[in-house]
Amino acid sequence: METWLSYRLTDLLMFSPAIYVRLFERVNDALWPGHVLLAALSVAMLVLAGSRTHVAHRLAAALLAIAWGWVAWRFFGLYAQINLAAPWFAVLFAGQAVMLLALAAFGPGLALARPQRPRHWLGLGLALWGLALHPIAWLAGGRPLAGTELFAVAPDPTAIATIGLLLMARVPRRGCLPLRGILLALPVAWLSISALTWWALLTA
Amino acid sequence: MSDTDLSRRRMLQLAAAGLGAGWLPGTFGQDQPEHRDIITRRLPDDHDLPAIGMGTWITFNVGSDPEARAGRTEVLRTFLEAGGALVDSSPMYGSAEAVVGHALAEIGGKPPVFSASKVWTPDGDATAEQVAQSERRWGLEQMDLMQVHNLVAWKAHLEYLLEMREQGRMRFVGITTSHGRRHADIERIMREWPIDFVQASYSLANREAKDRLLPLAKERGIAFIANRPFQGGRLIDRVKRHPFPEWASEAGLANWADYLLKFLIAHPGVTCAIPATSRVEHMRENMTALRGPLPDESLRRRMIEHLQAF
Repeated sequence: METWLSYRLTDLLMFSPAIYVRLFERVNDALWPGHVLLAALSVAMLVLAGSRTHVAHRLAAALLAIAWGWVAWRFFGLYAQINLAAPWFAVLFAGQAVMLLALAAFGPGLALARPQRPRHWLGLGLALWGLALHPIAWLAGGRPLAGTELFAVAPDPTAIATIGLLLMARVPRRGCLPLRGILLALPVAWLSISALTWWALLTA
Repeated sequence: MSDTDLSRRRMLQLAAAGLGAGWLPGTFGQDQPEHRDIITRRLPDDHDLPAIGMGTWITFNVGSDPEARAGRTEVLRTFLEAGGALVDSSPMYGSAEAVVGHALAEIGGKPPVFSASKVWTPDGDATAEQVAQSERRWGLEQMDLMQVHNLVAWKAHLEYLLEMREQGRMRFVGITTSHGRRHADIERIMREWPIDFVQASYSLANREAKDRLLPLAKERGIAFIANRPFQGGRLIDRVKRHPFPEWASEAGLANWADYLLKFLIAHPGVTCAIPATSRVEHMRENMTALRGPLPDESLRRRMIEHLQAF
């Protein structure tokens, strides 16, 4: 611990911004043309989550869990080559996948409510951002198409969309357990880590 | 045992290790006519080491990316072709050691590299394992220099590394620090332990090492590696925004990299400066510092004053 405390955040940054961007290009390159299937599954997840049957809601939660598990395995598997902390981030994503699977198996699944309250509208905005606008924003910012960040491929849009969907979903309290808060914790934690990474990359 | 005996024994060990590693007495990496004019510094075993080396922090951590690996291979090839020898890495640098190993294999033959890596683990029993890991990643039978990185679990590692050196399993042993950390501990180790190398941050903008570490290194016959000579790129980016001064050109300095690096290696205590880059054109600029006249003390003072005006 004494060793780690002697470092500043920027000291720990061990790769360049260009190599970080290349990571997204390489993940996309390895997946193509799997993006078509991924888009179909994302649409299926939304349709299932918006339907009225409990089984569909469970399937939607399971698909979201698969997205987290895929990012844990594929993205962080590659990221681990350049960041010694990446295996810990993979554990974080795998943990969220397990919790979403538990939501599918033992909870209400992912059941989207019709937007009525501010929380729902905020969730809708975040879900739209993660699923559609996030990659477009990167393209507008000059990132090449091959290097854009997509839901279920890259961690940031996956986390943003998940937060949005959970804010829109009907997630009842289980006894004293704030289930929604528990499910939001890891996506929020990841986005904090990602923000710090970008801050370090841009200021180092 | 007298100091003379110790010294003779140490010299024999160094000679044996050197022959084992493919070194020949005399100079290092300068057997080609175009390299006979490069600036070198004498090592404890009487070999001469080119005074500009190469760091790999961030720049060589590119993972398995084939495009980036090909680019780094060209950077290393440029470095070696210009007469460079010392390449410094660490297991803390992610994939950098493996990328250096890949580049060396791509270059082929028996590149005249002075391999320097580090032991970086809080587990004091894992020294041999980390040395073997570095040898494997670099694709070398034996490392030239192993250093205890940032003094992590330094006592256990240093004891084991010195034992390995005695057995001829590596040529040199050293310690490192960066960003001005723990200089008092570094000084104590330099005084009390028979190390060959010390590595610390030293640049024209951060001259803290010159007051105590550099004189002590010279006094103890310890080779000094100056890391972060461009302060992680910030210093050279800053100076490159200004026109290169005419008086510096007249003094024989070719560009800003030459200016910043020659300032360092002109200090009599500095053995080698290790700038890092991921670009071939920047490597060419860095390597201009390996040739030509070095600034004297009055010119070094002017170089400092000029930068302070920015």
